[in-house]
Amino acid sequence: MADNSNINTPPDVATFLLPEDRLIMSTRAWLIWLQGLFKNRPAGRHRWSPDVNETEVIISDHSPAGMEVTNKRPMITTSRGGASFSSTSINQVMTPSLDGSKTVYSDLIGTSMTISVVAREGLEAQDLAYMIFRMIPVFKTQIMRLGRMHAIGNNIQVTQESQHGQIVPGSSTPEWKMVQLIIPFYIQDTISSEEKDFYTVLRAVTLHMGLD
Amino acid sequence: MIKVTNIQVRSFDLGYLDLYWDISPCHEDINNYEFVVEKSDNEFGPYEDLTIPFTDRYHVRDNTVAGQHSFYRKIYYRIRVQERANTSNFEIFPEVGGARLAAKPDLIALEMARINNLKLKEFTGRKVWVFTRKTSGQRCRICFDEVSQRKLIANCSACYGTGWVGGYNAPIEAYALIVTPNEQTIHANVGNINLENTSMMMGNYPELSEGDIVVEAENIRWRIASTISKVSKARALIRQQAPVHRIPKSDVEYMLPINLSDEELRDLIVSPERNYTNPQTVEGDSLKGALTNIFGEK
Repeated sequence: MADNSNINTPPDVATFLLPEDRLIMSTRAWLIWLQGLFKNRPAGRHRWSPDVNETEVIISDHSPAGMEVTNKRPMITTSRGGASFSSTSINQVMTPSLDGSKTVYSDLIGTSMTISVVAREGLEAQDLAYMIFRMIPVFKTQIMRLGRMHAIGNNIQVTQESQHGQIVPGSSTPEWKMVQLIIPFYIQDTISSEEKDFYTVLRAVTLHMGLD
Repeated sequence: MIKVTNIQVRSFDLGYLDLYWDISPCHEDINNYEFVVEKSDNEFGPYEDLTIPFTDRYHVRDNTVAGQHSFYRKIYYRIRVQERANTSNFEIFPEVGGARLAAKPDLIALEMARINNLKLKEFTGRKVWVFTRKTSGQRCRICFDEVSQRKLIANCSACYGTGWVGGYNAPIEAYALIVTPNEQTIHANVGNINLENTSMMMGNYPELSEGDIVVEAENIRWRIASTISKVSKARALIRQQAPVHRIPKSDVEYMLPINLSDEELRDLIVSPERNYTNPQTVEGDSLKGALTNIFGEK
């Protein structure tokens, strides 16, 4: 066999670890909420199940990694929009300390979540999208808690139906219709100088940059 | 031992598949034997028992296939016949591979496939190893996030980036013609990227699916792309042509093992040996060698 030492495999961990990525944390919060919302529906009325062979509706992030669920509808997928700092504080520092003993870097990150609802019929997609739309205010607090969000915007949009043949061409009857929800929300991320190894990393990187 | 024949998979319902079979005429007491139906999503397994042992029945309905909507997922069955008094004495039918919901090739189709396979093996093709991608089984507990249904890390050596533990089934030796691709370098903002896309011709076995991996003798590894053309006669597969993409060398698919012994690796011949010698020329070679090249070993 060839030498495979140049392949950058991840560490040999025995358990699944979520990355410290606040964006995926918020995406998962939206998904867990959606899955819970559809898990409690009666059978035959778009009830979600974690078993992909039994579920009546597919709920996942975009580009799911299991090809065996293709062609199944309705499906609800999340897709995060662009994220940017909002510059809500001076130098993105929450509590400027005059003696330099403790610094807390913090800012709001403004982003959005697009929830795409795909069904065979346009009105079926719209019905599901509208149900999600009207349930967001009800569950806003729980979603924010789970996803450690700062706020969920009120100006949520529901788009129009996609055109016939826009998603999957070739069929003479509409087979794939989509309605999307676009939900703005905000995350607050914070780094404190009291975190473990903060100054070690700061010093090492500064030295590497050739600065004092 | 009784012999199972004429295994048929049939269904017009998405909720189940019906499996029928016969046995060859025999004088043995059929109550001395049990059937166990085995199931797999790969022709050469691993197979798992679908049923408990049963006797003197020739039909099983598999109702575990509900909800599987992919056009291209294949489910294979085979039947294990075992002696009731001694279950370690068993035979498996079909002897090679498995039965699935597919058209039975007629004689013309079989001959067309045979000639095409012969052409690839003896003249135009080279030996390759095909790793068929797993599409079911145990989800990877290291990189696969059940909530988002996505992989969170790259180059996972537990699932080779497929999200299914093990990643790929055991490699299958086959003969294929891979068209030499243009050597491309893309000068992207992120740096130079080597890119090779080409197409591959193959016989009727193994049946290719998107995401399968093909390994050449020079350790060039290709991934089957998403549009595969398959030529069939009366729905029976004759040959396949697939676009292939060369896998970057830093990817985990290069860790998929080809388990050849040192001798097998040293003596590896990927095309017929006679293609490398001129049988009409005796110069520089012994007459015995030249004759062997023409007529083969005694």
